[in-house]
Amino acid sequence: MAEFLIIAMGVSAVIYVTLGGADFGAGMVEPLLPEEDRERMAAAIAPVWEANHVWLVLVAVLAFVGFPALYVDVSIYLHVPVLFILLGIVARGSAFTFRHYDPEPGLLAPLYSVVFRLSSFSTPLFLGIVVAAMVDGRIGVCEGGTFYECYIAPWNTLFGWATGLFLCCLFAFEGAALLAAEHAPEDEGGLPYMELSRRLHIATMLSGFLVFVAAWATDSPWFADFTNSSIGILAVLFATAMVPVVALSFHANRPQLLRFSLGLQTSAILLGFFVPTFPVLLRLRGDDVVFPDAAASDAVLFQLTIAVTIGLCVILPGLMYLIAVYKRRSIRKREI
Amino acid sequence: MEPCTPVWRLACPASWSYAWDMEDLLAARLQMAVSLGLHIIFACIGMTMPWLMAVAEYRWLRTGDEDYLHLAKAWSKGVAVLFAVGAVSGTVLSLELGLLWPNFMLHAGPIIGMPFSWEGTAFFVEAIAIGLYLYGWQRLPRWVHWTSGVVVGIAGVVSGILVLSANAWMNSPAGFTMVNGEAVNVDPVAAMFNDAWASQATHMVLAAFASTGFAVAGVHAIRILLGYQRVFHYHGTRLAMYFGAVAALLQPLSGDFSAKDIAERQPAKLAAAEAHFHTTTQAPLLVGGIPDEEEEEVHFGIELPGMLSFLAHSDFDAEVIGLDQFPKEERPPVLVTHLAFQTMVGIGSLMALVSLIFLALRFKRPNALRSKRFLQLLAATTGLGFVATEAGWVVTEVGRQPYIIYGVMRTADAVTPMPGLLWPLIGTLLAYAALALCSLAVMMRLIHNSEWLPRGSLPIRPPSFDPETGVATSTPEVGHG
Repeated sequence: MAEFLIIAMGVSAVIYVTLGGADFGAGMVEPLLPEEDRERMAAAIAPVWEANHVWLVLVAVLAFVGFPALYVDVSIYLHVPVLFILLGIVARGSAFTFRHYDPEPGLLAPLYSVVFRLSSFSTPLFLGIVVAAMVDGRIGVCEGGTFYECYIAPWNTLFGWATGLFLCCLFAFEGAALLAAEHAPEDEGGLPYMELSRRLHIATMLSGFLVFVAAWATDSPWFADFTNSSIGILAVLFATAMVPVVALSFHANRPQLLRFSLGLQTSAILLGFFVPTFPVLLRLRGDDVVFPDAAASDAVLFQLTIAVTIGLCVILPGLMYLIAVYKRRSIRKREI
Repeated sequence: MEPCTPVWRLACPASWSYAWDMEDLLAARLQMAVSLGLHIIFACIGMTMPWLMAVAEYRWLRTGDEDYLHLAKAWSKGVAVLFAVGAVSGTVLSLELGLLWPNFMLHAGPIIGMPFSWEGTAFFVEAIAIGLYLYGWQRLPRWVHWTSGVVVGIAGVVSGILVLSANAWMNSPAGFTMVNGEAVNVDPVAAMFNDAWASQATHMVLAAFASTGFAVAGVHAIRILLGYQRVFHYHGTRLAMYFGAVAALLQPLSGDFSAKDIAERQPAKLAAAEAHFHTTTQAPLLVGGIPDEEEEEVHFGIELPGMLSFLAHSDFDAEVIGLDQFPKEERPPVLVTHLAFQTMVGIGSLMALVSLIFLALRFKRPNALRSKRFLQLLAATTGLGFVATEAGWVVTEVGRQPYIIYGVMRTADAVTPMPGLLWPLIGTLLAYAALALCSLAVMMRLIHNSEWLPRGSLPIRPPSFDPETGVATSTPEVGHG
């Protein structure tokens, strides 16, 4: 059952990074959009962003119920970046909603936009930092150190920032692909977004390469884990092998193919990132948090499995209905 | 009382003595109070408004009265804003619990995880249904649209009830045994169905309906008094007051149920709420009064003899345990708990009275509901329900101190080892102050703007109606505004 839950957590994380990531990315690329496309962007993410967000809550709940030590150690040692993520989530969601619904924003309008764009950028940045610190083995019990040494230095690494940058690029890429997919392939309006996606695709690959360089340069234990893990290498190879497919989707102007292959790439990247460290869930300076020892007792896992299974049976049809209702392009066209 | 540091002296009543030598603990508690204090308002509105919205839409569907449609649309915009802010502030809470109280989450997380995992599902359903409702006016068949509104309401209430299970568990821990400081034999089902759940969940849901009902009715009353004498405002006050009045009249019963429950399980909380220092039989009920924790007496209070015994144990002669049964370090802060309790009970009684007036007028002199006097009364009670809700929440949280899990874990032992918690507190305060101000400003502008909902935003051609019966005779097609 612990296996089921760790897979459920992984799947939720992948869905959050693909669906929620595109919402973040739409906010990041917004300054590049012409005025009329901003409305289109807002219309594309408004009905779904809250639901996309719940996947993150699901990861948090599964973590603290099923693997409390994982949740708790991340909370203690990565307090500062997690706090920045939280501030970003609140600021972004509120600014977006206020901007959408405020009938006369007046002087506040530029403020809403600035907050929305900045937090669209800062949240994935710190998310990347947290994710990197989880596998980097620098956080952990810290006796007698200063605040900086204990609670900032362990995540303030080149590897961390590179991962944050990579996640930003990836999300922005997803956002641009989402906007491209908002246009029908025969519609000229989508072409600038395919071009933007192509550039962001290159930026994503470069920043991904930077993550490896940073891990190698900072002697991160993750780099050693990675080079010893055949699954990790295979996953990254798979992501690389998808590059021609992505290129084809640019060439043939097929935004849906782009989104699909991008989703596969993203899943492979996440797999390639976390699997090498497994069964260690959280690499610490002291004792690592290891699977399945860190799992809660069987009675808890059993109840949690039931809750998740029934929950997914309710959620997935609902979510598909929601997406089906809003992504029927024929209807959207008429409304705009 | 030297542990008070200068920064906090103003906010440092003598009663909170046990916490003061640990500034980080105080900062963590304040940060939690701010985060939850804001979230609780959004959560109350999120539980209640969808029902109001759905009832208004139902009235429109049945009668074709466009004022009801106008009302449903106007309310749904408010719901959209408040739900979004509630959702993000709730997401924050799911991680903030770990940031501030990691040791609590380490032990309690698996035990109380079950309601949280079900709540995750309910929240998801709510988010999906609200997406359908808010953006689906033109895309969904009308009854499907209406159903999605009802689903939002159901999911909201279910979420609230499930979260309350976790909070009730903190007051009435169950479903585990402590062996050498470790929780073993964890039974999540027993933890979820703990003794305090029923009384707390009932009280909270009624509080949400009463406070939101009164707030909505009050806002419409204010608009009418400002001169916007539109029919939909009268509809709005009436619909909202049905919800508010029924909840506010049931609330004293639920409060009595809670008081008896607390008298049994958490006598220290009841004693602090009542500033009942000395164990006595025929204990009096205290109205008002400023408790003095050093002298263990109450100044300026009115005592109703025997009433506390009656309320706590249904017997005027029963013994009520006082704070003297607890060593000083085991007592909750009396001043704060007592004042909060008095505020809650006072406002609750006032709201029940207004509800009686409303129902009496509704059935005896319906025209008086439009009178200036009555509208002024509603306007005066607009935000009071939320004050009472916050006060009640202070009673349950502060009254549980110094424990985070009653009788099992102290709050001081749960707080994060990271020092410098003042800074996250300041950041949270600034962010949430901005959030509260912006929400208020946006809501006020939305309310003002709702007077002129453009015709184009009305979704669908009105259905055809039989003029005699007022019943819809055809299902209209979906149109485009």
